[in-house]
Amino acid sequence: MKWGKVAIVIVGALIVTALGIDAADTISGNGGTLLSQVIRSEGGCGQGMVPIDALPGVTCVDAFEVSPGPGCPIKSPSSMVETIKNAETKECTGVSEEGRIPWSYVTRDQALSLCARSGKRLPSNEEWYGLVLGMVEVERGCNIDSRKVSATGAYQECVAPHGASDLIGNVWEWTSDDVVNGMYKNRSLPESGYVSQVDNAGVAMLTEKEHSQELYGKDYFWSDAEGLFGIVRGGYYDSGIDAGLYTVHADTAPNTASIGIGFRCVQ
Amino acid sequence: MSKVLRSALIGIGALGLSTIGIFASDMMQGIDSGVGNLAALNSAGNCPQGMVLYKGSAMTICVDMYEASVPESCPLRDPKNVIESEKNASTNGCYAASVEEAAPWTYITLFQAQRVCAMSGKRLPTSDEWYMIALGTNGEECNVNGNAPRNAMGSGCVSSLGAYDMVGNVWEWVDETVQGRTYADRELPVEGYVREADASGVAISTDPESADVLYGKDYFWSKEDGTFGMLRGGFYGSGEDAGLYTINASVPTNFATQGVGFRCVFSV
Repeated sequence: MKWGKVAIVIVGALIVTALGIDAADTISGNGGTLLSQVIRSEGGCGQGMVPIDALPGVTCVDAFEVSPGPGCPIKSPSSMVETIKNAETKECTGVSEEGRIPWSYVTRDQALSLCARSGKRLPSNEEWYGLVLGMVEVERGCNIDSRKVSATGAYQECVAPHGASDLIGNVWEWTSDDVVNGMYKNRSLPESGYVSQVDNAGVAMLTEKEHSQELYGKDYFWSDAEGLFGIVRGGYYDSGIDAGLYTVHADTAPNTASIGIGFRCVQ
Repeated sequence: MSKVLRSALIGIGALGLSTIGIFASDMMQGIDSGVGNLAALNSAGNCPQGMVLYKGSAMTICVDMYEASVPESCPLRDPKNVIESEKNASTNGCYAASVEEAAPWTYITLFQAQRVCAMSGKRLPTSDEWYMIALGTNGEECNVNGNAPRNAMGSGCVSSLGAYDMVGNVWEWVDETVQGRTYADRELPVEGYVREADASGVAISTDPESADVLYGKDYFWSKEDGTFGMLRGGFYGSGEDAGLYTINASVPTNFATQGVGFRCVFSV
C-alpha cells in the first residue's frame, strides 16, 4: 500500500507540474489554461457561434437563427409534422448558418430537443435579453415589416454587439421559461399592452393600453392570467414597430408551431 | 521571472497533491468513508468517471451516465425488497454507483434513493434537470418491451448529453413530491396521454384516449388525494407509453418495485 501512495503522489505531481507549467505559461501570455482548452476549441466557439463575454452562464451564442442542417430530409418544414420527420432523422441537426431559411413550425419541446442534439441549449428568457442588449435602431435595421421570412443574416444592420444576427424580427425566438397563471418568477405579469416599465430581464412590469412614451419604442407585451404558457421574444417579420428588445409574447402555448416562431441556441 | 514562478507553482502544487494523494490512499484503506471524492471535478475540470457535464442556464451539474447500481462496498449487491435496500442504505461506505455492466438498483424508495445518492456526495435530479439530461433520447432504442431490467451499457438508448437508459429499463425517481395534483404552483392534469408539456417536460394537459405523436405517445399519471413521488421515463414493460414526457405522479414515496430505480447528479 505504501507503493500505492508513492505512485499516487508521483502521478499527482506530474499532473500538477503540467498544470503549473500551463499556469505559468498563461501568466507569460503563451495561451489559455488546460481547462479552457478543454471547454473551448481554437477560436473560442463552435461553428456558427460567436463568443459572448458579459452574460453569466453563456459563453457562445448561435450567430443566426437555427435552420435545418444538411442531414435533414426537409429543408424548410412547413408544419409541425415535418419538423417531427426531421427530428426523427438521426443525422438531422439544426445549424447556425448565413443565408438559410430559419427553422419555423417548431414547438418549444422540439426546440429544446434540437438544441440538445447540437450539444447546446435554449436560452432562458433572462439570457435572451442579455443577447439583445446594445442593439440599436432595430426598427430600421431588422426584418419587422417585410411580411415574409428572410434568409438568415440578410438584414446586415440587424446585428447585436457580439455579432449575432436577426435577434429582433424575422422569426420570434423561443426561450426556456414558463409563465404559470400570469406569474413569472414569483411576480404577476401586467395585462397585455405597450411596455412602459421593465424588470432586469426586459420583461414588462407595467404596460399601458395607449402608447404614450418613447422609452421602450412601441414594444408590445402579451400575457394571459390563466394557463401555462411559454415565452417567445423579439417579434417577427410582420410585427411592425411592435417588435423590439422588450417585445415579449408570454401567451404562447408551448406546443405552438407556426411559421413566425423559430429559435437559436446557446452554450 | 517565469522560471522562478514555475518552480514555485510546481512546488506548491506537488505539496498539495501529495497531501491529497496520501489522503486518497488512506481512504482506500477505509480510514475515511471515502465516498465524498466521487462528487468533485478532477484536475482537468471534468466530471468523475461514469458522469457527464451538463451546463444549464441556472445550474452546472455532473450527471450519472448510467442508472444507479450497487457497488461492492454494499452488503447486498442485488436487493430484492425495501428492507434489503434499507440495509444497504444504512451501511457506511455503501453508495450509489454509475458504472457500465451493472444491474440497476431497484426495490428502492424515494427516501432511500435520496440517501444513497447523498452517500456518493450526490443528489437526485430535479424534474427539470432530469428532462434536460434526457433530451434527445430515442425511445425506440430503449428497453421498453422487456420482462426485466437490463444491465447498464452503452447502447442506442442514449440522450444527446450521453446519459443511457433515461427512457425505459427502470423508472427513475426525481427529487419532487406532488401534493394531490398540485405541483410547482399549478394544477397537474388528470391521467392520460400527454398533449402539452411545460419547460420541464411535465404535462400541462392530457387526452384520456388518443395518444399524441408530438409527445411520443407518452403517458401521464396523477391522483387527486395524497402525497406522491414522481417517477420519469417509464420502465421495461411500458411499451409505447415510455418516453421523455412519461411521468407517474401517482405513486406513494415509499413505492418500490423491480421497475423503479434512479440516478444521481451533483452541482458543480
